[in-house]
Amino acid sequence: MNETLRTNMAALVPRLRRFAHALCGNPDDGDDLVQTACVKALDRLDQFTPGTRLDSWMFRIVHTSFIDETRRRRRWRTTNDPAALDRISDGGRDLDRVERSLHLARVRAAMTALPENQRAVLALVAIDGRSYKEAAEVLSVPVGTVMSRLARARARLLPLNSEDAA
Amino acid sequence: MTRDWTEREIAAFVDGALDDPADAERIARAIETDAEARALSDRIAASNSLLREAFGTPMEQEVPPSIAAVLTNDARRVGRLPRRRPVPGFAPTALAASVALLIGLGLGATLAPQVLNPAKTVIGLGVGGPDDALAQALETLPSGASSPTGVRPMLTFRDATGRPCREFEVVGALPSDLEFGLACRIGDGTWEVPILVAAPANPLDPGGFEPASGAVGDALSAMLDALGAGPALTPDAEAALLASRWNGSPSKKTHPARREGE
Repeated sequence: MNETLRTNMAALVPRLRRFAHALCGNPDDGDDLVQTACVKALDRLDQFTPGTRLDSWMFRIVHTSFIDETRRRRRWRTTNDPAALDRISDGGRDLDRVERSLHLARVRAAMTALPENQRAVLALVAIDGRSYKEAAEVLSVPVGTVMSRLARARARLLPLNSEDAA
Repeated sequence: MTRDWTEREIAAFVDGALDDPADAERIARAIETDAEARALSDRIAASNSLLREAFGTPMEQEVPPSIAAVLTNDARRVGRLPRRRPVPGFAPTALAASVALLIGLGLGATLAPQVLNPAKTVIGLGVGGPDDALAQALETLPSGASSPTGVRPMLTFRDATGRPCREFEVVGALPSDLEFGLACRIGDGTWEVPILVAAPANPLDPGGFEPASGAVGDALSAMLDALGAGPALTPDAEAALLASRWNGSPSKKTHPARREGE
């Protein structure tokens, strides 16, 4: 039973990392967060109700760990990590790709500039494709709150890609 | 022209979250027949796919050993993730200073104007009159449009006292030179900028990007709370304000998104 759960958890890790990266704003803090969340999840396996969605449960643990950690540290430090560039840069081979990657960097920066709670709903709905109801369950807020946070986040993000289209 | 859709419904449709089939059918028809609905739906879909791409890297990567170890072994063999140590000497002063100030702002919750990264700032904090490039852009441009000086208003709202205020960003010579700010209109053509924060760029590669921590968002968010920011105005309400040169009375008409208390 536990072995199956561990296998299923491992399959969720890419999505959890993507969510955590979007929440924290950088991959290293994101991976720390996923590791912390996995340790917590294994500690509390008895609290998982079989038959319910493992992904929602894990996302909730990632999110609450993020809130705990943010409160504890007050904020995530900006990492000063030269290796992070390798993950962003194309190596300069292809101009289109470089421009594309700069644009994506701008999208990441704009995401980072959003308040945390708006980042969380965008990460769940726009990036992970969860329904509003599922996002509301993960974040323990009403569906209406998910919708208003989304609308507010998009009011800031949409001007960014309308320019892109122009 | 009657409109049988709302922005929220379009968003929910694109997000696959419109549960009632009758609603879904009505919105699908609106997107097919109404250019405005279609444009909005296209923008939301494009934004979703950009976000997925911007954060897509983990989906193509192996699970990092540090995380896999947690799931395959018992926790006592794992310990904390080995954190990458900063390279000695790699501590560009400007970046370090701007981060320190950002953190100071967040913790101190001071409301006085603060210059966070003066070296990159093309506009100043404080009050800008009609001759000021920033004030001109804020006075005249709809949200989403950019001025020649790189100022782009992002949205408009009213503060607790009913003053019109705008969130804006300033793009420098490089796409990575990004600043975010808030400004409130305090008189004819005159805007006050209580906060301006820089997205830290990576000095080793000015074209590259060092994703910032949440400090920028936290700082702006704290200022929004301090101002008592109301919900974002709809594009129509904003256009009416711009057309009346900001003389409109405080409008009750707001974006359907209500800014909830935190």
